[in-house]
Amino acid sequence: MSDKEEKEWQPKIVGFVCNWCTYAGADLAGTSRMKYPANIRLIRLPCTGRINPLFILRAFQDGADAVLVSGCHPGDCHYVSGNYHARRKMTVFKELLEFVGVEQGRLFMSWISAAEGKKFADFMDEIVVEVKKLGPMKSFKQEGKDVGNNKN
Amino acid sequence: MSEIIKTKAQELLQNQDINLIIGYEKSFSPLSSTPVFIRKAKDCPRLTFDPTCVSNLAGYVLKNKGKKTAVFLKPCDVKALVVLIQEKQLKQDDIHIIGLNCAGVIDEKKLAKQYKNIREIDFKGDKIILKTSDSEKELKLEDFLADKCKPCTERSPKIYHTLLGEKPKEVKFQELKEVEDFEKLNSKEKEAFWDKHFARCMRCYACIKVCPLCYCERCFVEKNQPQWLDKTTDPTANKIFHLTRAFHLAGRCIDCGECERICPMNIPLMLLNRKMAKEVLQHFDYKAGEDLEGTPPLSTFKQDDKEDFIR
Repeated sequence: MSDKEEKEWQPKIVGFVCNWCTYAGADLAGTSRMKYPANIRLIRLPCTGRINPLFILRAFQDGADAVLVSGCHPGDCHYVSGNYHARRKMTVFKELLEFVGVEQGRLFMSWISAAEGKKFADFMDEIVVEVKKLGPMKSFKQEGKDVGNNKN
Repeated sequence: MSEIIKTKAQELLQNQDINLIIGYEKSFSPLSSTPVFIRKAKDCPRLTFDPTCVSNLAGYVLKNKGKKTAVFLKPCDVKALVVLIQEKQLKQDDIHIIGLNCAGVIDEKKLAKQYKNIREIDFKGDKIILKTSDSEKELKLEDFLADKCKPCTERSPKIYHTLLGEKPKEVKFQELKEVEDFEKLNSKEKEAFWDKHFARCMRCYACIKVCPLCYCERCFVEKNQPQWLDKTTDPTANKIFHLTRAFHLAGRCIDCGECERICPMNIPLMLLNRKMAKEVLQHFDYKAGEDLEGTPPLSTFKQDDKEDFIR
């Protein structure tokens, strides 16, 4: 990285991704040597249906500037309907976050299949550009938090 | 009305195999009523119903699971029972709903703020007769109605086994625009508003205790493996608590308003819950507590649910 890039603020993005589609897609991007920003930290789940909104709130609390939720396309869920449930949950949760003042553009959701390595890489680029414009996330920060195993 | 209630209650205890009647009785304070649990016919004269009967009795039925219970429910409170039955917490056959025609309930705080030393309160039609230590006043019920009663269009319950009380006359319908008005603020203003309120939360969990739908034996706040929240009153932890509780009630909250009424710090909890109800209605065309055969919206899905926010 050039000196300028090193000094520029880098957003931390946490991605809750499904094992069968998006994680495999990200893996494809990697094995195909496609370059995408290192800002994303992936958390592999069996299915987007496993996502509890508390995961997202916890990610923000632990320092994430943006959160991505990504899984199989509708109809392609490995567990048949997990992504449909996740879709409903996120529809409601996204509105709740906006209602308490979290800016639009902190929570992303996408359908990325195992074959869409390029889509994953391009989408990461887009997310980083958008989040850099918003700046660091100031809500949900907690001083001296030591919940669970994390000690700040 | 009181005579009818007492007679009906005695009848129920004697004729059907009802083990418990949950109703209201006069409290030590003239402006409120308190829940009463009646098992013997001789206690039935304690029962009452008037606009001071604010509490939602549906949650108490869960304490008598497996046995037949009769419970006095206002039209809003019946909805809580409907959700409990939908979620398989109660069997329909174990409940006898004594539906109550309702003219609305009073906002105790509004009355107490304006009039000091209230000794007695009486209700005649749409009038309140208030006796303080030095005067007697006649007031209009609609001036002191709880906010939650203003947008109510169902003054008579739709689901019941027994129906008591006079059908209320045409009531003035006043829509609450608080959610729409709040949505007009920008992110910073919204955040400032909520941060100010959440910082004052003292995590007493009274909102959980009073809510008929917060029946989880082990709430997410009590878990320590994994521990989702600090147990302290840290503002961020408070925010996460309230957001998660609102989300857990999305599509389930029936707008009885008890959580906000009893919050000792006056946090506008119903603003969050009403926002969730609005979203559920808009996206999934579902209102909680209306249909015994309904399915909770977040435990099901449609193939063509909207996904315009998904890239």
